[in-house]
Amino acid sequence: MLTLNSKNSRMSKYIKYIYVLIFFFSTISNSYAACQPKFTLPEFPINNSGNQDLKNKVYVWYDASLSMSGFTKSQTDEINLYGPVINSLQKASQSLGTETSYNTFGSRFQTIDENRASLVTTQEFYKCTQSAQACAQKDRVNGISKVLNVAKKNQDSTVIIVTDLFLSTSETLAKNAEKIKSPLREIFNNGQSVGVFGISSSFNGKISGIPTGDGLGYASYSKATKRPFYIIVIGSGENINFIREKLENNQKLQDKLAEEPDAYHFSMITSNVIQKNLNVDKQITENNLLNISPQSEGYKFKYENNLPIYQFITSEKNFELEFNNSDFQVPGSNGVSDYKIDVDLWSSRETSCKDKNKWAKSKRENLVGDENITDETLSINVFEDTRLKWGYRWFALLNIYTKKNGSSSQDQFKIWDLNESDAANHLTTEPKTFKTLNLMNLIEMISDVANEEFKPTLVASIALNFELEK
Amino acid sequence: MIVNILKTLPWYLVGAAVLGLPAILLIGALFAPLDVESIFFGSGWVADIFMDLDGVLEDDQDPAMATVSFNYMFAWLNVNLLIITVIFSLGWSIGSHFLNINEPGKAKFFGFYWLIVSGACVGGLILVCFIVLDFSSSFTASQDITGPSQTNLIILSTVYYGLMYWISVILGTARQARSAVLFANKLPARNFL
Repeated sequence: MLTLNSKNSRMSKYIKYIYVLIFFFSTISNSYAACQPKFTLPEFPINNSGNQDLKNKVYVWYDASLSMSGFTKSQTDEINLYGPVINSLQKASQSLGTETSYNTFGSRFQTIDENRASLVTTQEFYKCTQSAQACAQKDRVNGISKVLNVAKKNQDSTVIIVTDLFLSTSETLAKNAEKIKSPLREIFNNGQSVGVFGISSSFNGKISGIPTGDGLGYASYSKATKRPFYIIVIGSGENINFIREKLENNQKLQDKLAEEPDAYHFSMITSNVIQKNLNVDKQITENNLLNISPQSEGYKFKYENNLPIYQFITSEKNFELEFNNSDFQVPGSNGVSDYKIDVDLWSSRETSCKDKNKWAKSKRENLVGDENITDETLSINVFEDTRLKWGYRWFALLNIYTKKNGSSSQDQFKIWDLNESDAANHLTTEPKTFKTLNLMNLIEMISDVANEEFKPTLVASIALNFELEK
Repeated sequence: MIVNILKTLPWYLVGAAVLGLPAILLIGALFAPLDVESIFFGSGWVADIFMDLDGVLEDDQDPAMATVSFNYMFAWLNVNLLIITVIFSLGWSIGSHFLNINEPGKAKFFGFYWLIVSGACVGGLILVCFIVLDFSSSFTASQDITGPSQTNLIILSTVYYGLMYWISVILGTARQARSAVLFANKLPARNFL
């Protein structure tokens, strides 16, 4: 009986201890909860995992127009990059997909077998068996819109197009332009991207379909020793970067770039240049808030439901946040030219977190200054022109969205662009390097469609919880 | 000398009380909680006129809490201004008896001292206003006042307490001294002295 009583009293002692502990921990957790207002977090987008195991079909389309054969013939004093780059591309396309299908477009729109595809770096591949007039007629039409339609129908696949991109002006106007834009819309809407590689290679052939100044016909030119060719890759950002990596590792290309950096350009055009949300992978760290030292008084940094919360005591009236573009943007993409930053701000007269704080939501506007966007970083200045009152605890929730895509990487192609109006003049100068007709028309068309399909994307959400001192 | 001082002190007190008493009543009303209505003075008008209510509402803060803070700041401002005024006016009222001014031609020296002390008093009043009402003062309510309101408050406070100083000094100065009388005769309010 005695032992039973002593056991009971011991039990009740333990229960008391448990009660005390529960009370203690609940006080701690409540004190933290009291330190921030009630707010709703935006829905974080799901980051693409970039699963390399999921391989799909790869379609390789070669421009079989006659002018392409100029890339296959050697040219004295110029380095031919067409052969080595196409070889690297073929290897990359084999590694990329489960199955690779080779096709031609331009003068002939057909599927070809491996044997025929292996001849793509030879003159034989581009021989036109029809009459010279019919060949010249077909050569004037690039026919890229047909390939884009194939890409539209095979959205899980990667489509690779090798072409000189010599588009006639009529192909970039009105209904013909719509034939290019329409499939692109669906491609971008499906979250796919378009990677454009430009490589300047030796050229020894005839370029036909050059509009004459009087508008009455077309001229041809065969004195060019150098000319750019293009590889357009339509697919996921990861796949485009995979091909980019393989091409850029090509030794001959690297040697050429060492002596002539403008011989190669790359641009990734996408409707969403945001590769991943920084919250999902918890990539925001103490270092992103520049002017508050983690060693300062009362500094805490923690994630709560993927939201990074900086808690500190400061007399600073404005804060600078900085993010590396490479942490969230698709590499090689056009980047972001403008951001939208939503800020919700609350204040509390109770600066300590011991009691239940009464939070009041501020109606202040213009809490964020102009963001500073460089090729490497995004800097945001918060509360620069806002005279926040000291003696209060402030809680700011910042949601950073993309507002407009940039155009930084596509602009580098301008050096190879040739307008129809300038074509005749260009011809009279007898250039060694021949530019690409309507190149920027096409690139801007792709970019415009990407911007049309642009949807604001949440890049990051951040909370600043600070006691503002005098 | 002491007799002369004691003779003028009641006059000084009368002069100081004209504006000092309402100031003391206002200070009392400002220190009182919001729900206590003063018999003599209401204090609500202070925040109504000078507090930046829009700024308070912009942050969705409780206007009543903000008013309490504002009244607290304004009360301490008045306490400080009152102390400054009393120190200078009483200092002059007593100190003027010790000036060697009872000789012909010394009136201008009397006026010279008077101007220095008065200038220091007005300067002190303005300085106190700035210290209390500035955005970075130790009163959080100093942030609830707009620039124009701050200027108005500084001007009005300086004029009010400057006037208190003036009246108390005019009545409490060394009235028996020849120079003081000559000086007083030149003042605009001489007919009432």
